[in-house]
Order: sequence, then C-alpha cells, then structure tokens
Amino acid sequence: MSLRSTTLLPEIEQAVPALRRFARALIARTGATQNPATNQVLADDLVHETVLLALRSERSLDLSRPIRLSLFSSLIGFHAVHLKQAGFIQPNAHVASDFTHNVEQGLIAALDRLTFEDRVVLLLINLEQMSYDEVADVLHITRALVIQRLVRARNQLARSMTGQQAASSLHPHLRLVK
Amino acid sequence: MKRVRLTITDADLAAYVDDEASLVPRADLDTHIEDTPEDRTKVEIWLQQRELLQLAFGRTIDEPVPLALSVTHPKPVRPEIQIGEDRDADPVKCVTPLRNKETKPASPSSVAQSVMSGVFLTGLVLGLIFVFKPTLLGDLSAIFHRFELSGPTSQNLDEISLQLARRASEAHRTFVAARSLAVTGSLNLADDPSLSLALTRLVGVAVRVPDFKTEGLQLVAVRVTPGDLGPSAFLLFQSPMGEDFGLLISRIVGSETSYPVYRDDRGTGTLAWTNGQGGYVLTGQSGSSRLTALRKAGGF
Repeated sequence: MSLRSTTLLPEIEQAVPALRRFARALIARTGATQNPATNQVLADDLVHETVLLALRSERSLDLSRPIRLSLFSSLIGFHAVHLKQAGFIQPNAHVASDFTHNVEQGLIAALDRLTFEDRVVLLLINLEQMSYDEVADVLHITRALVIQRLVRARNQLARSMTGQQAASSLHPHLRLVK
Repeated sequence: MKRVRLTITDADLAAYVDDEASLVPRADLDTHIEDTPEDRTKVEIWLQQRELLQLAFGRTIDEPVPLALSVTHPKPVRPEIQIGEDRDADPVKCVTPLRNKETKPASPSSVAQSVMSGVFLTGLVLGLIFVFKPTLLGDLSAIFHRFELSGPTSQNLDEISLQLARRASEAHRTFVAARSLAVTGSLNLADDPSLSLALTRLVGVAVRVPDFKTEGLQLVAVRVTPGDLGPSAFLLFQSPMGEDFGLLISRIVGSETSYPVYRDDRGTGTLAWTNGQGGYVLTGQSGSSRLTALRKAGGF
C-alpha cells in the first residue's frame, strides 16, 4: 500500500456512511421486484464498487477537490451505467398510489417518478446537504442547471405526493387488508 | 411608504430554503414569503420534503459499516521469507549445477544427422504397420478420438462450471429462504474440525471450511445437495448486516483447474471455478468484486 493510499484511506472511510445513505436513497424503488433487503445489498455493492475504484485508481484521483465529491461522482456514474444496462433510465410513470398507507413508501414512489438527473440533484441537496456549487462539481454541470433540476424535482415531488394524498382522501373507506 | 413588488422566482425560493446566495436579499425574501401565501406553502412543502427524506434514509448514517466496506480493517499478513536469512528453511532447493543447464549450440552436421535418422525411423515404423497390421491405423485413430472425448476440454469445463453455478444459485435461494426456519443463530461450526472431515468423506473431495471471519462472515448452516457424482456440500455464511453468502463444493469429472467465472443467475451472483476434482461456487446477492474478495479471503 502506497503512502498516498494511507493518507487517503481515512478520508474514504469517513465518506462511506454517507455514500451508503445516498446509495440506498438512489436505488430505492417501489414494486414487487424490489424490497428493502435487496436495496440494502445493492446499495452496499454500489458503494463497494465505488471505494474499490478509488483505491485502484488513486493516482488518477483529483486531489484539488475533496475526495468525498469524487466518490459521489463515481457512485452516480456506476449507478447510471447499471440503470442503462437494466433499461430503467426512464422514470417509473406507472407507480400507483397504493402506497399511501406508508409515508416512506409514498416518498419512494414519488422519487420513482423523477428522472434520474433530477433525483440525483434532489438527494445530494436534501439528503447529503451539499451546496449548489458542490453538486455542480460532483455532476460536472453548471450551478444554474443544478438549480433548474432542483426546482423541477421539488415541484414534481410535491405534485406526486399531493396526488397521493388526494387519492387517499378520495377513498377513505379503502383500507389495506393483509 | 409604498412597497416595491419584487419578481421572485422558484430559484430564489430554492436558494432561500437551502441557505444559498441569491440575487434577492434575504430580508426581502422573508417579506415576500410572508405576503404571498402561495409561495409560503411552496417553501413549507419543500422544507417538509427535506425532513421526510432525512427521516426515511437518514438513519443509515448511524448503522455500523459492514466489514466488507471498511477500507482500514486489518488484513491477515502472510509471513514472508527473507532472502539469505534462513536458507535451510526454504523448501525449494536447486541441486542441479547451473553449468549443466547451459545448452551448447548445435552444429550443422549434428542437425542433419538427427533429421535423417528421424525420417528413416518414421518410414520404417509406417512400413511395418502397413505390412503386418493394416487395421492398426483405424484402431489408433479410435483411441485418439476416445481420448479427445473423455479428456476434460475447456468447453466441458465451461459446461461443468455453468451447471454448478446454476445448482449453487438454486441452493442459495432455497436455503436462504429456509434458513430462518432451520437455524436461529450461529453454530460456531467453522471451528469444528470434524465437520471438514465428515464433509470430505461425504462429498469425495477435500472439503475445507473457509474462515471468512476477516470479512465479518460466520458459518450459520451446512446443507447437503445432490450432485452428478454424489452429494455436494453447501455452506451458508451470514454477515452481521444480514447478507447471505453460500459456498457449494462438489466433486466433478476430470481434474483440470479453471479460472473463476462470475455469472448472474436470476439475481443471485455466482463465482464458479474448479480445482482438481473439486468444483466450487460462491453465491450471494453481490457483484463479482465482492465474491472475488471473498474467494481470496477464503484462501482459494
């Protein structure tokens, strides 16, 4: 292990919990094919891939910016490739509003309706509490585009969640029977 | 004094919510939000969204990081032999003097002699075959053909590996689903030397229960599944985070060694390889990198 690795390792180690949190939120989908346990495993695999790449290609890491941002860039890149391979790059427009009994599931269903780009920006800002400049750095886009995507994502999320609430209030007599 | 009505965009509101710099002063934004119920509702909804996201996924940050994702955890160190430190302890010794290994350049006359004698001997053998036993050539070709069929070719190895991987992934899905019913905790089976011995007798190849403790995995169940040449052993490991990994050990035809091949079988990752008469498959809902790391950690 090189000297450079030993200096980078603590920084990478520190970023792992946040990467896991972000990966879970990025991967979370609704539907029969996905469940929380599978999501956790897939998210950890994604983080594993990201960390492994950072350790293998440490010489190509850009040290002028925080390692954390580089790691997030890699993770998003990996997930985009996986989505393209799986054919899931389009937002899931068929998410039904039958998850209104659970706020978390409702949120995931609403996130599922966002485009990949909008979802990434929303999560980086709302969940990881990154600044607009940091998000622009992670995604290699302009600050203006970050704001545009963020506003679009927030409005879409609000519409989806309001729609779910309206749907549930329209059918108050319906209950989930297990 | 009359208030000047500002044009506030969603971008300004977003900057307000996220405490980012905006062209409109914050005090003016405060006033605008107070005066405009529509934008006030919008800001409240956006703040709620953030809280919901934190509530749904924020707890992940407090969970213990699995050992597999820890980049600074100690790894087992293999003792290295220092050159010149203890020569007697080195089991590999070269007893042939180096000068004996040197090859002399062949002279043109000796090359010609070798070629001539080779041609003469080949002609003599073929002549004798045709004279005394014309059917021998057919027999020889049949023998070679049979050898080609029975010998383990790379194609055969691929098929064996694929079949093993399918069986292992099926066993993984079946036994992971049944694990909660069969075993309620760790059995510390890995420390039992009689387990390896019993499985070796059962399977017919040397079965070594790998120690995945450095990867944070613990052996939680041992199962026996049918195989082509007899029973196979399926070992089920679990991480503290609840990830399940399996190892199928089976006896195979032939004794070739093949490189590990990763396949995804209906959502279950498999890493299959052969070594001698043993076929091995690591299974888990993981990518190839994780299974490869496990294989190395297990000393395979």
